[in-house]
Amino acid sequence: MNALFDYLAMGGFAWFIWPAYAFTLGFMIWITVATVRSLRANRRTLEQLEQAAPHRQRRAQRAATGTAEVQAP
Amino acid sequence: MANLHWLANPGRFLRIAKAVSPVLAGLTVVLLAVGLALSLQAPVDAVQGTPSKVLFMHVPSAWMSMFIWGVMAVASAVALIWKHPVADIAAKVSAPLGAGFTAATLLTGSLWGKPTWGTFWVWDARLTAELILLFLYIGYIAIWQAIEDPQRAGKAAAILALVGSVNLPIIHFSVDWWNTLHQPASILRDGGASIDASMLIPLLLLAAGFQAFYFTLLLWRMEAEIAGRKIRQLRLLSAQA
Amino acid sequence: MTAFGAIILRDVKLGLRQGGGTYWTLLFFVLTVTLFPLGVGPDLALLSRIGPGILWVVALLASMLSLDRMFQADYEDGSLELLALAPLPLELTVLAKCLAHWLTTGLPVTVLAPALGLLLALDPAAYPTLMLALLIGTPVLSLIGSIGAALTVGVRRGGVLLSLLVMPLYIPALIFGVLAVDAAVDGLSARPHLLLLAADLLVAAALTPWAAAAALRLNLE
Repeated sequence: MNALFDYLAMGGFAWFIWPAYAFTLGFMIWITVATVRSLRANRRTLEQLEQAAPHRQRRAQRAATGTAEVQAP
Repeated sequence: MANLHWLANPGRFLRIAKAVSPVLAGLTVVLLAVGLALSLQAPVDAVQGTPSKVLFMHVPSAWMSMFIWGVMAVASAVALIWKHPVADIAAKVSAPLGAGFTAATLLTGSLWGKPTWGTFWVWDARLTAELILLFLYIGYIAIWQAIEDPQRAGKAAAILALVGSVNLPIIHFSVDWWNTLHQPASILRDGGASIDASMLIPLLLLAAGFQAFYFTLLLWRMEAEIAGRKIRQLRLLSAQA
Repeated sequence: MTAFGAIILRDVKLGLRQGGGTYWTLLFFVLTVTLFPLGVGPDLALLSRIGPGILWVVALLASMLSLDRMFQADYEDGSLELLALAPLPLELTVLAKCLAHWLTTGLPVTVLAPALGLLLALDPAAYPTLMLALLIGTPVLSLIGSIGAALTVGVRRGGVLLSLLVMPLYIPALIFGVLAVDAAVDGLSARPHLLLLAADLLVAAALTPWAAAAALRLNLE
């Protein structure tokens, strides 16, 4: 048990080392969670919208990526 | 450029992204797990002492902060010149990742500086340049948020990214010039190649892991952004109908 | 070339007439510089040491303050579209507008700087260098600023965004400019710093009109 505490104390530098790990990895985890959440939500919404109006799918895809004019005449 | 045009079709891009991203995600997990484990049990650097462990987070973050701006600059150039819609999205979704790694670099840098230099912040040339890079990232994100129409916002942001890339070397040089004149004795002395293998291996593994992490997130975020734009368009169309 | 001159003349007239920005810019310059002794205390030794930095930072802010004027009014009344359609390339129009902006902000600030240097107990021997550095450096501010102004032209509350975009790009000019004046105060040669500042000006003059014109075109689409 003491060996573990000694390790965690990092020779007295614990207050510098652990926050560095925590912030960097914390940021990576946070942005991963945020990304996966929005990806899932967008996938679900898109599926629902496409089921509701399947014929508009292709037009929207073209318009969404700017390869064709957005406005319908 | 041929394969870039081939990827310009968002549908095709999505199919490939969906096939590649699980592999990349697995690679990220393996590299980060092994790298982290090795970094935590790495022997303490004789010269720099225990705080050198901070560098395992600091150095890969710093590399990513610059690498991501490079990706954004290339993607912006492709988006402006070839009107490549996928490149535009790649640049946009990269910016928060780049800004986060830049912030991590600054924070871990000052956590390393306190025990090493005795102060959290010094106006060291590299730290200063990194701080300016953070401002550039924030400006890039701000311009995407300020302009509502994604087509226009994308072009404006692309111009800014390219202007920033032309300026970054000038900024780096000017800050170096300023720093050497204001601080006769440079504090930062790198050992160069003298770094021990027991430190170098986890460092390189973590750097590779950060890279894999970035590309995994890039693919996921791009898919989310493409889906988001489609949703926006479908809603606009159904509102018109 | 006459169109080029006409744009400069028009913008300078607009800047100088009553309610135009030049007077406000100068007033801002003077007022902000006088705030510093009140903020850091009347110690002349300290003021003379930080004086070059104060003058440069405030000159930079003063130049930035008037940037949103550069294209915004023309955009709102539609004359920017006409300028974009005119035979004169938009890049040259941008250059003319930068020159006009500099004539109505950078140049007056340069002329006024020694008077404010007096208030900050700046060594009179450094005045020629101070003015030369401002003369070379303030056009850089107008040129780089034109990119920010062009990018934010149609944006609501673009002023803060403009500062955010432009400030990091101003840093090299600020550094070389202050170092030149510092060198002159210390009795050293300001030549290398001034040459670097001039190099920055050349790069800015060669590249910014393209970027600003591209940004304007996209905002006029």
